[in-house]
Amino acid sequence: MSLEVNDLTIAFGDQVVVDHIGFEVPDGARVGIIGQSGSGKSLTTLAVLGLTPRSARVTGSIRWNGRELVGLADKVLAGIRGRTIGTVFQDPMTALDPVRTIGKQVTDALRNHYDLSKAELRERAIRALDQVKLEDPESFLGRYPHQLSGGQRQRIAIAQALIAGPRLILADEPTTALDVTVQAGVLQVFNELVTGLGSSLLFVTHDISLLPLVAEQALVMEAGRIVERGPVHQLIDRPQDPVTVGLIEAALATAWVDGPGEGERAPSGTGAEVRV
Amino acid sequence: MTQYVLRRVALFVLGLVLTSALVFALLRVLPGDAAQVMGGVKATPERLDQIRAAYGLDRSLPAQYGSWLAGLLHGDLGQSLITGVPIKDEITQKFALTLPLAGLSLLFSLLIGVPLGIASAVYYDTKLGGFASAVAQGLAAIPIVWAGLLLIILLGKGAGLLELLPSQGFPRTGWSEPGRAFASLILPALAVGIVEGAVILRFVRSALLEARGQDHVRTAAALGLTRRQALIRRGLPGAGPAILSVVALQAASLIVGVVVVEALFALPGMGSMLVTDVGNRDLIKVQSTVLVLVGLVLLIGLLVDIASRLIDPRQRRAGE
Ligand SMILES: Nc1ncnc2c1ncn2[C@@H]1O[C@H](COP(=O)(O)OP(=O)(O)OP(=O)(O)O)[C@@H](O)[C@H]1O
Ligand SMILES: [Mg+2]
Repeated sequence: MSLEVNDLTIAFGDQVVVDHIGFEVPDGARVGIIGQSGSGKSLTTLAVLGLTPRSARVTGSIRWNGRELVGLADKVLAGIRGRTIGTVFQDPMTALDPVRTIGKQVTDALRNHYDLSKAELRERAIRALDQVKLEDPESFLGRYPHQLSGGQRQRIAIAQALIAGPRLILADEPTTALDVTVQAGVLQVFNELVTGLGSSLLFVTHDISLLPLVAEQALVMEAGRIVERGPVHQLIDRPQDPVTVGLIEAALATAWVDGPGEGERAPSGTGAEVRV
Repeated sequence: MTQYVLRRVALFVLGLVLTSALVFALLRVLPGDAAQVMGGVKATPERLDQIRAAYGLDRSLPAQYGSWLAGLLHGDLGQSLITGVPIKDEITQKFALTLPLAGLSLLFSLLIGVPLGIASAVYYDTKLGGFASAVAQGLAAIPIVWAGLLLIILLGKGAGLLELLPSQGFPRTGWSEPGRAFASLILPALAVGIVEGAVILRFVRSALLEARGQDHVRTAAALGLTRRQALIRRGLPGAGPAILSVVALQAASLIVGVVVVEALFALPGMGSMLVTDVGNRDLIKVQSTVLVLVGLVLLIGLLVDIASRLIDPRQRRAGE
């Protein structure tokens, strides 16, 4: 099952924020999208899901498994979302439902798409939480997001997105909001699960240093366009576009601020993190 | 949770005490004299003094307040200065009309406000949604008296265009004829319900519009709900406590609305009684009635706070 994007354009009024981009995620491939804040990465992933803001005008083509998704009725798209395409969002503090238990929301995709018994759901929930390496998974079932740490929540967001075994996984900066030390663990769990499922992956990040860990191919976006693309190691070793160079420098600066691998980076949003 | 409930109940009692002092003080600065009303215009000054002494109106204000409060503590609301009837009996009797009227008004306001609020948020970017919210804006701003008059003109028996429902009075037989009694409450409750419902509508709408942009609502859609399902099933419960608290805040204006429509529709409930008693300067009775009404509003606030604590896990502390 492959994802083919052609001529995708997203505009708010006459402001074009994604500008005629095209790329492909072949079956089982792992593709990264990298770019600075505001370059259009999130909107591109949301367009695949049919979840761009209502005020956005989406044109072009997104084919999933041969089927055109652009312009498809929301009802039909909903049948794809969570079942064959799973999504992990950026901010674990807000992406989970504050008033429902973990046990409930982690099985949402199953309940939306399949008819399972209560016992089966419970068993699947425990297994999913176990797979993201949460200790004593059963104890999480009755808890609420506000009782958990950021890392725990993001593991739950991952379990939730992957529970129905999607063939394509969209990950929009799934570890950006986390502390570096926590980040590594979450990324490892995520990687193992994706490998286990053998699914395709579209991984969005602004941190180029994460790319080699998660993708073979990558696209560099800037102001709604793809300015460079190719194998990850090539992008890092021999960047052609100034934007790519800039992203590498930003990553190096962050690494330097953090110290070699063990620094305590301030959580994103405090302004302490380096984004060029 | 128990601790929270205890604290909240203490607050409720404190609110009642403060209200009692406020109501007492306010009524003493009101011009007019109960003794004069009782004695009639021709009463001599000596006669007026006699009356005042008989009802304790000659005592100092703190003494009057103290004895009223002491009575309240024993569940004794005092006696009417004018008729001598125990106030508790009369209030209980009037409640048989006022409570169902208030309940029906609340029901109408929720039936109008919640579903239409949801619809106007879901269809907010269509012409219909815009129209609905403009209508709500307008309705929320009109006085309940106008809404009542309009309903009487449109639907009321005797005066109305359609002559569908009774618009004046309450059957003498009371609730022994439930159909007729109920019918006479529909229009007044609708008048309150439309105006209060419009306020709730606007609030539900804005809470849902806010939920539309929330991350977890988007997550719900990404897991396989349609956008609309995600908004209603996941966005609405999050807004639940906020909506509940608005309903509680509206309780006060709902009670005031009930008092107003009782007068307008000639219903012999607490509201009509209050209007008469103020005219008669029946101080103790007005005092006690207002206190009971305010107590009712405070009680609704108390129940809503506890309910919203129960439905919102974020407000509960660990282990509760
Ligand atoms: N609802 C909206 N209305 C108008 N403009 C929007 C809206 N949502 C996003 N944009 C604009 O679209 C552009 C791309 O946004 P997008 O969220 O895709 O960026 P991004 O690459 O994901 O950035 P980040 O790394 O900060 O998440 C930005 O310039 C943003 O200002
Ligand atoms: Mg983004």
